[in-house]
Formats: sequence, C-alpha cells, structure tokens
Amino acid sequence: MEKFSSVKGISAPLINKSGNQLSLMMNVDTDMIIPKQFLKTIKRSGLGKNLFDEMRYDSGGKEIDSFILNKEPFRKAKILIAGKNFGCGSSREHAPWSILDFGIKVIIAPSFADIFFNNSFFSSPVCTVSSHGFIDSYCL
Amino acid sequence: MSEPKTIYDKIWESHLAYEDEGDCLLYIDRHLIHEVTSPQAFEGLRMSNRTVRRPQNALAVADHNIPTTDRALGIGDEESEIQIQTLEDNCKEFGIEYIKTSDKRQGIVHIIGPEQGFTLPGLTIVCGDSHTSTHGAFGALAHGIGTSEVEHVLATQTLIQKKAKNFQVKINGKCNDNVTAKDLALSVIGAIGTAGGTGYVIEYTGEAVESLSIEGRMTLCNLTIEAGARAGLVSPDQKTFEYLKDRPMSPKDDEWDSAVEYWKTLASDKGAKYDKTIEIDAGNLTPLVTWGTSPEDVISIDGNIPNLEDIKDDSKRSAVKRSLDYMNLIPGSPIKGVPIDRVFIGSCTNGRIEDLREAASILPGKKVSERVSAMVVPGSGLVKEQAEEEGLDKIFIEAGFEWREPGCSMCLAMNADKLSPKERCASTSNRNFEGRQGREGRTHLVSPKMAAAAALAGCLTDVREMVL
Repeated sequence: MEKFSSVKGISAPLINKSGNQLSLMMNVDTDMIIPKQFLKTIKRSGLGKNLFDEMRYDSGGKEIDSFILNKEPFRKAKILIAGKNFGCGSSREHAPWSILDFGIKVIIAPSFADIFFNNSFFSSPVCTVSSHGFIDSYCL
Repeated sequence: MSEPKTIYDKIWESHLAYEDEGDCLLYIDRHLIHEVTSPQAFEGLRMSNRTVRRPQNALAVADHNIPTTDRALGIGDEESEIQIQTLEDNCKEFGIEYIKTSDKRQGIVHIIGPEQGFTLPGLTIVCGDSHTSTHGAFGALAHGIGTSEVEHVLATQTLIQKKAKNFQVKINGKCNDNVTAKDLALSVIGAIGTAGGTGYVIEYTGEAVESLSIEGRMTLCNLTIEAGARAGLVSPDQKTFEYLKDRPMSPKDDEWDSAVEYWKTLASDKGAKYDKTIEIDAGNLTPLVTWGTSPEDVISIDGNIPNLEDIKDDSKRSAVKRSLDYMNLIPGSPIKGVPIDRVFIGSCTNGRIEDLREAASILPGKKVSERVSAMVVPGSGLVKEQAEEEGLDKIFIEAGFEWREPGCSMCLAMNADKLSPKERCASTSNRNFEGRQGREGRTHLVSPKMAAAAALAGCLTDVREMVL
C-alpha cells in the first residue's frame, strides 16, 4: 500500500438532481461501485475500468457523457465526494479496490458503512468523515 | 454481583484476545468461506508464505456463482468455473473442509452453516459476506468481513475490531396472520434507515421475536446489515437448542449437555444497559413491500408510493426522485397493482424450508399469471431434498414455477439468473439496489408468501386478500 500524508488533486462529487436542487448522492452502495459481474476475478487489480460501471457506461459499453468521471478534468480525480452512508451493502472489498485502481486516493463523505470503512482501512482509499455543511458549501 | 451484561458484551469479553486503546483483537471461532471473496486472501497467504492457523475451524462452499440449472451440465461460464475451481484447490492446499458442488449439502453458505450445526450459540463467526449476520439468530456474534480480513482470520484466527455499541430492537406483541419475519425485518429497516445501525450490534428482543421460529430469526438477523449494523443477535433459548440437537457438527453426548448449560448463560441479563432502544408493535404491522432502491424504502402493501413534495430533506428527496425514476413508478400512486414480470423465491434471507412451505401454502389449485416468469431456488441441497419429500416441488411446478438447484442465484445475479433491463421482480431477497438483480432490473422486496401471491396475480398484491 502506498503511503501518503497529503493529497492534492481533482475532486469529483457524486450528485443527484431533483429539479434545480443538487444534493450529494447518499447511500452509494457497493453494487453501484462495482457490479457483481466484475467479482469473478481472482485478482485485486484491474477493477478501476469498471468502477461505477452501470452509471458510467451504457448497455453497449459506451461512456455516458453526463457521468462525472467521464468528464474532464474528473477523469483524473484523486478525491471522491459523496453523501452519507457511502459504501453500504455487500462486504466486497472489490469496491475499495476498484476506487483505488481508478486513481482515487481519498473519499470524503459525512458517514461510511461499517464494512466498507474497515475494508478501506486495509486496502485504502482513505475514507474521510466530514460534516454535511462543510461538504455542501465546498462543492454544491 | 457483576453488572448485568448484554449477550454481545458476554461474547465479546469471552473472545477478547488483546486490547490497546480501543483497538482489539477478537478471537474467531468459525470461518465460513465462499468462492468470490476468498481467492485474493489465499493468494495473500501464499505471497507472504503463511499457513492457515486453524483449518479445522473453517468450512467452505461455492454458492454465489453456481448455476441453478442441472449440475450435470457443468458451470458453463469460464470465469465462474475458474473461481469455483480456485476455491476447491485452495481448500485442498490449506486443509480446509470443502463441500463440493455435487454434494447434496451444497448450498448458500448462511444456510448450510446452521444446517450442519457449524453455527452454534456463543461463537464468533465470520465470512466474507455481509449477510453473515444471519447466524446471530443462534446467539452467535456473526458478521461479514472483507477479503483482507478473510486473509487475517485465515492467518491468525483473530480479527481487528473496535467494540460496537448495544442497540436493542424490542418487537412487542404478536404478528397478524400473513405478517412474517421478513416483514418484521423490513419494518425495522424502514424505521431506523439503512445507516440506523451503523456502529452498533442490534439485539432483537420482545414477544414477537421470542415467538419466531429459528428460521424466522435467521431472516430477521440476516437483514440486520441492511439497517447498517454488522451483526444482529437473538438470545438463545429452548428453540435454539432443539434446532441444533443432532445436527452433524453439533456437540454430542456429554459435550452436548455441557454446551447447553453454557448456552443458557448467554442470554442478556435482566437490567442490561443498551446504548439505544427502539420498540415496535408487531400487532400494527401489515405485509410490506419496498418501492425504491434502498431496503429502507418500505411501505405497507396497501400504502402509496411517496410524493416528492412530502419529503422535506433535500438529499432524501433527490434520492427518492432518482429511485422512482429508476423504478419507473408514479409518486403518490398505490403500490398494490403494479404489474410484475418476474418472481424470485430463494436467497439466504428466504431460501429455507419454512419459506418454501409458506410460499407453497397459497398455490394449490392456482396458476402463475401468464405475464410472470417465476422461479424457486432452494437455499441448499438439503432444503431441496426436504421440500421434495413434502411434495412442495410439485406444488410449485404445477402452479407454473421453475424448480431450481440451490445457490445465491438471482439475489445478486452473478450466475445466469438475472433480470433483463426494465424487468420488474417481486423478490424474497435482501437488496433492491440499482442493478442488483441485473442491469436496469427493478426489485421489490417482499416475504415468500407475498412473492407467491404476486406470481399468481401478475402484480404486487395483498396476500391477505388472496388467502381470504
């Protein structure tokens, strides 16, 4: 695991829209992060290309332009920002592996699901808990 | 006399191997292993030249990837085949008992643990799967772990942990007819939300929990992770002991007697303190169904889908908007009558014999709607065998269900069993996340009886009306 004490880079917020209202996406689950068809690997590496697969690509495998990680400069994001309870759902460590493999080193959210948080402790990315107010004023 | 303790406190204290300013090493008694979350863990052992500390404390089976069609036809998918073969090879190399895919005991890891008596009260149990919380039904401290933790347990038989807080969910009263353990569990998730249990271990108490069968308690504890708590617990009682007696791996003879004596000391003490308690009245509950893409999106079958303008919180409202768009549902409209295409009965949540009996009970003399494709996937080979002895397979098949081989199947759709885009499914599984049962698939979580009723009606329907 690479050691670092500070990260400087592009941050990509995961956002839901309701009318003109923008909100950070809450309850981002591990099925969203890395769908099950990519869990058939017996390796830890190479999962970054399928991170957020169903939000990132259409059923023909073409990039969906509106998804943030398909836009410049977010393709090179090192920081991911999301709403509360990030990483809920299954215990698949493929979720943090895929985030790290994409190049994201830090996730900032108001709260994380327990198993995801523990998995990240072992394999990074670093999960950083921050208040709603700070995150909202920073990126919305 | 020492301070009254919860069952969680008792199991924690008896397994605490080391503590340093809140970081603890917990001794792990039993380790269940499946093919998806273990290959990288075994590889890690090889890379660091380590062995498995106590191979006799582990039990492995393939369940996530396995096809539910005729086993004689093979796996039929190269990647799945490699993953399952890798599990078998790793077990052989490290001396771990592996239940082969051709073995009639094969099944979903959380169903075979209890079935074999591998799961016992007072134990710490882990598995690289979040639904390990199921085993808490026996008064075992059981939770899901990631692959790095699987490797850690294999190498050391311990787990790095921080002690969780105690959360009591007290379910009073009695369930009405057609209200099941699944409905109790969904009502808890609906009440506290998917992050409501984060940082806690949930202990279920109260008359309704005591009245549940052991299999019902398994359903309740299984869904604990969907409320954010890694582990759920029910204090063991006479029913627990009766369920476990004479299971293949349960203690025998004198050991059984002394085990039961010990198990009787595990129940939470009177006056034990909880960091948080909520109470639910089972008598107020109706059969439930999820409308959205989070297990907390729960309503009564006779209720309406939420209106966006009624939701005050901005993030919640935008999440609901996203869910309703994905689910293609009209805000404010009744959930009852929403047409469905598929029905799935099975999974570690509802793939046990009682679940199949419940679902089958409303089927005789009726047919699955022409618009619906319905399948039953028993949770294990032994559940399947039992169901066939009771003639349940015939009831399902005559009604128009497919009767399949055991596995996780369409709960997570890692094998060939999946929804096509836009298909809508009444499912007895545990997660209605976007894409969970197949890309763009739409999942409504329900009890086995509600799933069977939906299959007959061709839409989400109220089983209470159907039975009458």
